[in-house]
Amino acid sequence: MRRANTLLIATGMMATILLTGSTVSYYEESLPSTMNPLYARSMVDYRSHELMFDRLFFRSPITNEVETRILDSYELLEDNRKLRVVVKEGIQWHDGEDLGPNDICFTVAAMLDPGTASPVVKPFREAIVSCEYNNRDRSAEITLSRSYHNPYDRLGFAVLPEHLFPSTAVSPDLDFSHRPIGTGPMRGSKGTRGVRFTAVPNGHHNARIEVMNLQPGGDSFVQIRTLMASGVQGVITVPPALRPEVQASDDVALKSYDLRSWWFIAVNTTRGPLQNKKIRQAIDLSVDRTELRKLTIGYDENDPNPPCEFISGPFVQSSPYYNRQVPPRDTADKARAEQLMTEAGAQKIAGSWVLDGDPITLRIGMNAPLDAEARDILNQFGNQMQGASFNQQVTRVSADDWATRAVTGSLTSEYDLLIGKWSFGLVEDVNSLFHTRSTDGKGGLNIFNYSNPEVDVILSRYESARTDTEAQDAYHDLHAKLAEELPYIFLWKLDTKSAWRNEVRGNTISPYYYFTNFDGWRHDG
Amino acid sequence: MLRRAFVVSLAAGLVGGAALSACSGETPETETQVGPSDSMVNPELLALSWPMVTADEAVLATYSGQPGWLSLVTSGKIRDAVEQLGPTGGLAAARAHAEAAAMYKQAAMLSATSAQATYEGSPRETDARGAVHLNMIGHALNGDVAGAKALAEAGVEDLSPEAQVFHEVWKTALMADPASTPTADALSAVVNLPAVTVGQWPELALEPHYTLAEQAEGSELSVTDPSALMALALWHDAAADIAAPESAAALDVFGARYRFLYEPVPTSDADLPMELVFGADMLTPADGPFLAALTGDAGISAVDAWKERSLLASLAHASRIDGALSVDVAQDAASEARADVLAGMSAAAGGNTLGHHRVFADIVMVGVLRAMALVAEAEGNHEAAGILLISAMERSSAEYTADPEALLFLSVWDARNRYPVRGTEILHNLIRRYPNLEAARFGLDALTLRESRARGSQNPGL
Repeated sequence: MRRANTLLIATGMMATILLTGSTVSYYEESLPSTMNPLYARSMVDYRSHELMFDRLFFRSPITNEVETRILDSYELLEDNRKLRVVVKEGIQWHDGEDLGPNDICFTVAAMLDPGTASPVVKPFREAIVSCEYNNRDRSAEITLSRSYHNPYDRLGFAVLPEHLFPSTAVSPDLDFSHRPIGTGPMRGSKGTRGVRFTAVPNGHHNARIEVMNLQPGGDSFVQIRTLMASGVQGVITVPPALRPEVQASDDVALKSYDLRSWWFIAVNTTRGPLQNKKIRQAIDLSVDRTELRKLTIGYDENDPNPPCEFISGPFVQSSPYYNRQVPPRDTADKARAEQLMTEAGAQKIAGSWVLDGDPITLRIGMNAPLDAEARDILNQFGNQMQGASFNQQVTRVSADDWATRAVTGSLTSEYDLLIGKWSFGLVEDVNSLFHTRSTDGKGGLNIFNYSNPEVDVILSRYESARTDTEAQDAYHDLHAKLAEELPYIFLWKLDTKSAWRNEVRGNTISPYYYFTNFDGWRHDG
Repeated sequence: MLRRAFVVSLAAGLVGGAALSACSGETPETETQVGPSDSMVNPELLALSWPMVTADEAVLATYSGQPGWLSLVTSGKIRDAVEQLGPTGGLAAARAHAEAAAMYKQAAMLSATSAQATYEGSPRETDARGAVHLNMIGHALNGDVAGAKALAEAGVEDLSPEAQVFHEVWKTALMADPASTPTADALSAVVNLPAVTVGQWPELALEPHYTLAEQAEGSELSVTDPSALMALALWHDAAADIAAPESAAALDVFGARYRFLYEPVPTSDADLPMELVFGADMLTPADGPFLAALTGDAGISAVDAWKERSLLASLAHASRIDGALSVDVAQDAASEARADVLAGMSAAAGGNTLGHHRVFADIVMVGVLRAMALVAEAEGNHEAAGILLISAMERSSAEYTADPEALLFLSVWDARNRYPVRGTEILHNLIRRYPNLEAARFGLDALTLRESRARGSQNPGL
């Protein structure tokens, strides 16, 4: 039967049938924080936007070749400092308007406009100087700030429709952020309980799934049960503890998702007791990572490919930037922690640490969706702190607040510690996490506005490195410095696996962006 | 849990330690009829596959009686297998050494190919002049010996004395008439490997071998030369030949798909003995010569030439639509092969599905996917090959399906595409089991750094 389906598809006979009723539902980590790609922050955002928009250039998830869907041709000019592109004819926005070269230049102008206050655009501002278009021959010329080795990789932005924006200063609260119009394979509509993506046939897209329903995932156990019972067809993030069950199923397949994700506890170094490095170090020494991992993620010591691996700095262990001279700390060292607390001037009174007459109370927050991957990690970590004689208050931070307040440095007065994770693709640039915040966009993702001139110097060394070796050396030094200074307590890398029912076929998952090849997906249910 | 069930099952099937050699080169008969009528799986060929042959408990017992086989097939522990099968292990020991050779060949290819993709594929003005030596090795291992020779003839500048030691070995071989690649003995001497001994597992010193001065003041590249992994690969090849000298031709066929591309394609069309097929991702005795032909001069024509003898060739043939391999149908073929093996083994066990049946069936499915990827590549369909290789990888998380050589093969494939992310994770995980593979990090790290920096900055996602 399956073979018959395949044959029909190959001859093009199924496409119409599939488009008359094919609906796929899947669990995401949360709702997207925005539907405007200029303000994408979470991986849910990036994945969702990939369904709705076309990026000017992208990489094939299989062969890694540079590709574009919306350009007829492109050529580099003037020693690779200028790119001339010609936009394909017949591509329409989801509202029926034609895509033109003006839209490309509008997007560039929006990114360059200081009124567009988004950290997402910083890399593009660094790489692009201007854009001019000519509607007669459907061309646009993009001028780059210098000659790049891989210029197309600097131009992987999602193209926006000029006709829907009043100016190039794009703010996050425009109506577009709720009801976006793109040229991607699906049109998205965000509700309070989910996002409905509906296929939009176009000259350059032919989605074979008519409707994709994004549902924010809750309890991961329920997610997997629902998947097994065909209540949904996919789960984006399957926690390690539930993977064996999925693997044992003949109806569901685990899919790999190339993402370098690592977990951390950001430490508020700007106020309160954690300004003191010795107290930060004491907290780090009070964390029993082995126990925490066992209680929250589940861990098979015999797994040849362990999904979760401790880290001592801001990179996954497989990365060339990871400094292997800095060993990760697996277990707690309470004696040393107590010694450091005493050296910091703290006293233990009635089982709690007191500093300058006040009990130390740690206000601990966590990006709420992380609970699905590491069950109850917030409370378990809180318990470890309590066990180390720190009073603690724990709070879940909503995904929206995390995206709009935590990473923008707006929670410094409310929290001492924040549990989160970062996800990277091939590029592992961590400068925006640790650089002192500045008006030119540096330190744009610095959660507690950490500032250390020595760290800034190291980050500058990375940016100005003449060779790959120098860049690697700089990040090795950064790793060592951060492990000592502890603006973050580094926990572990946790790989990401999705699960999709076997009826969903052709589901190639792109590194980082996930749905880049969505036109190849289909539902044979 | 699954693995334990299999081990228990094998242990239960242990019947007096029958001599393994009883299986050599023979294809035990079976009357089991398997495969539903609409399956793509040819039931006659399926009956010749190692899972169906070992559905006979007496045959299985010849393997289960040896811990080395358990290590190799159920745990994927090649080193343990080499040491357990030992100097008197005959063809079984040769198989273990051949698997080790395949792993190190792919690791050497990974490092060299990545380095070449970096320093030749996207050179920078500040690159070390001595990196040409690494490009030279990349050319040679990928089959372009003439290109390697041209680089050697042109000369390599700025090599430190330590680097010069490695380069001289290569230069001597390449400048010979005819040009060749370094011998096992020459390479072993450079990295201080012991004399070849069956059952031994030599270790490399893992410190970088030398530094290369980059063309930016004060910047030096620490290099682990890919020749070290090449030396290990050739060492294990030699050990395999010593363990089973009468089977040298079969061993060449066994390793053909993971060979260095400068190595000649074996032309033997003889069936492989069961010791070289059991637990492998080749299913029937003729799959070995089929894959050798497919990855050699015959190319895609091997499918038609072998479809009556080789199960993998027959599945490739059945996976065609309009004369070309269909990824979807190939994936269906893999699923059907798994299902038919499971059904067949269960039938042979009186309708009971035992733990090891699923293990064997999973190995079969992954094996079919890997073979179909080679078919797609032979057809020139690079993207289909990638989809199938990734699909195989996604089903290779268990110890018994996570063949290091196959995972490294995908990493090499990715490196040729200048995509290092998957490879770094694969290699990192494999290093836990095989510390010598640390030597492959150098090249892959170089490519990762180069590609990462060339992409510019990108914000991480929450």
